[in-house]
Amino acid sequence: MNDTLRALIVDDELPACDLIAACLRDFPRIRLAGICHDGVEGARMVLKLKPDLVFLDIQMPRATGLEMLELIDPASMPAVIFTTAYDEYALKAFELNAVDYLLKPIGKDRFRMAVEKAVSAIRNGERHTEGLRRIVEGGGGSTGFAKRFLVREGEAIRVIPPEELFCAEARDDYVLLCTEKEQFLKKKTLKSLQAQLDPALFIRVHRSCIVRLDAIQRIEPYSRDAYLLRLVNGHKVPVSKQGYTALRGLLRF
Amino acid sequence: MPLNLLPGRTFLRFYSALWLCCTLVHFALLNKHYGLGWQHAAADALVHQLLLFAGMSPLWLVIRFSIRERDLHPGVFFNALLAGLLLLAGWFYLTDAFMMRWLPDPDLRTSFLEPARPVRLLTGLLTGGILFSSFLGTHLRQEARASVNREAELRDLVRRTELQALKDQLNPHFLYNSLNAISGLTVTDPEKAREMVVRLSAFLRRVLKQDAFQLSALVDELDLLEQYLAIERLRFGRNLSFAREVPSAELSVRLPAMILQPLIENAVKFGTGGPGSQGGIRLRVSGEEQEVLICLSNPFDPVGERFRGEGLGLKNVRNRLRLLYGNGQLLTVRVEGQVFHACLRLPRSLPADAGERPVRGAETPSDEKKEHSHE
Repeated sequence: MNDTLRALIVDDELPACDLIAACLRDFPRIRLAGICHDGVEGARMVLKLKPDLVFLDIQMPRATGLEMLELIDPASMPAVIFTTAYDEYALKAFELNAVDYLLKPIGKDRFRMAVEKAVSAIRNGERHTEGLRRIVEGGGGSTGFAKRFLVREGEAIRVIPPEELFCAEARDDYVLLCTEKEQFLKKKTLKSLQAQLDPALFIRVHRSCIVRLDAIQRIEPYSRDAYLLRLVNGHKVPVSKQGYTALRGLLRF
Repeated sequence: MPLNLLPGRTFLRFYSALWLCCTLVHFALLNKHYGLGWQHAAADALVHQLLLFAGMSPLWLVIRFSIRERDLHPGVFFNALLAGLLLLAGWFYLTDAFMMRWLPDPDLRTSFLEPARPVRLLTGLLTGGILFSSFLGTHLRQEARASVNREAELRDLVRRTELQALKDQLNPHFLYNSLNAISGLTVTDPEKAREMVVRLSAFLRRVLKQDAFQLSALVDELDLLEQYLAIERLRFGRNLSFAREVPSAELSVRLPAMILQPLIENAVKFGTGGPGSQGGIRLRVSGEEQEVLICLSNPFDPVGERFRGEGLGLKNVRNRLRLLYGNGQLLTVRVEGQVFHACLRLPRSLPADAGERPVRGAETPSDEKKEHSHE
């Protein structure tokens, strides 16, 4: 195993990046692999450089730190130290999930502690992937509906606004997000997706399926207790008995 | 609020004066009109009126504790009235028995006391009625005053709480991030760190001095915005351009302090992000006869828009406008293509209570004078 660890800094403020870079100079075993200034760029850099350790700001343009982590597979998830000015809710989630964070302004001693902890976790092969996963799923304590979904399309990262989402289907550990013409896989549970969607616009019609109400073209009987939804883009979606009842309630037919 | 048992000093004075009056009239009537000797007249007047006024005084407590302004209903009145009548009956019986027994001249008992009973009863009822209504009036007035005070206190509390919330809005994120940036700059660029400390201090000095009810000249508010933008430029390395179109006549216009701050924060936040990117913010002020129109616009990317928490700043501006002018709709926002506009329409007449609020920091007494001269 290579003795030198590689670190990435993701923060939209230049002086904040410089500060972490300066602090890292005290650690000869850690090499600074890159610096970037927003979540989308950050995800690209993580996928490309495969750093061992990421210093991650949360509030950033284009994609937040949490949205950025959503784009990264658990297998290639680096150790993450969040750097944040102040966010009570998020910090509580971090503590609960044993993921370290640094409060800005960042002090040297606290920085050393966090880095040493991360380094020993990396060396022992401990990953806090599960904890990170929970934080990301919980939206870092954010409430309200998502304003966008970020998905990976090979190297590229796409932004899907909820208005363009037609339906979402559960596929093992992923959800398949369908827009009018395209489909994207995203690592996420259907349940956490549902929590981020406005229930007045989206409805869960099946254990494994959510659709947007105004994307529905017609409802066809399928078998005795099941129905089939045809969406305006021709896509077909199964409807369970419960889903049918909910649908009737919402559409009043 | 402590419940006071006594009806208050003024009322006690009124009560004693009334008593003195009644006693004197009583004495005069007996002495002059009925030709009673002055000892007898004095004894009769003193005994009757003293016992009457003393005997009726518990009625105050009855009224005080049974009648509530908020739920006046006939039953309560009736009870108090009944208590008054019982006291009167007690008074009548006691005084009568006392006088019959102790009046110095036994002849007078039959020639004077017995025929005068109906008159006594009537005058007793009359005085008792006067006392009852004055008790009631005083009590209700006190209650009303207390409830007005309570309401004012409550309003004040609500206001203070809201203001605290607004002040908190001055955004811990911004402060901590700026301090962190300074810490970073000390390593890479001490000169800039020094500049940032100065700018941040100037900004904080302005902010901490403000009372949310205070008015401030537009030119000072613009200065604050420039300080803020300078800090943001240092933090993000962004080329935040800020174009102002302000007629010089409007530079002195007075507006609620810091009302533009959330708008500019919003503009910076939602303008395209990332170091090196452009974010052109425009401020346009136009004066009309009754009001001043202040519009802030910035480029806006509907999809790549930033972090959650959108709208909190604008909501706070609305809250403040509601508090100050009673109208949150003085702020309007709209998106036109790729440009976001936020417009404030501020009446030239000052918010109702801006003048009467104590201005924190006694060093600005001239402010208030200017406020009035501007109207």
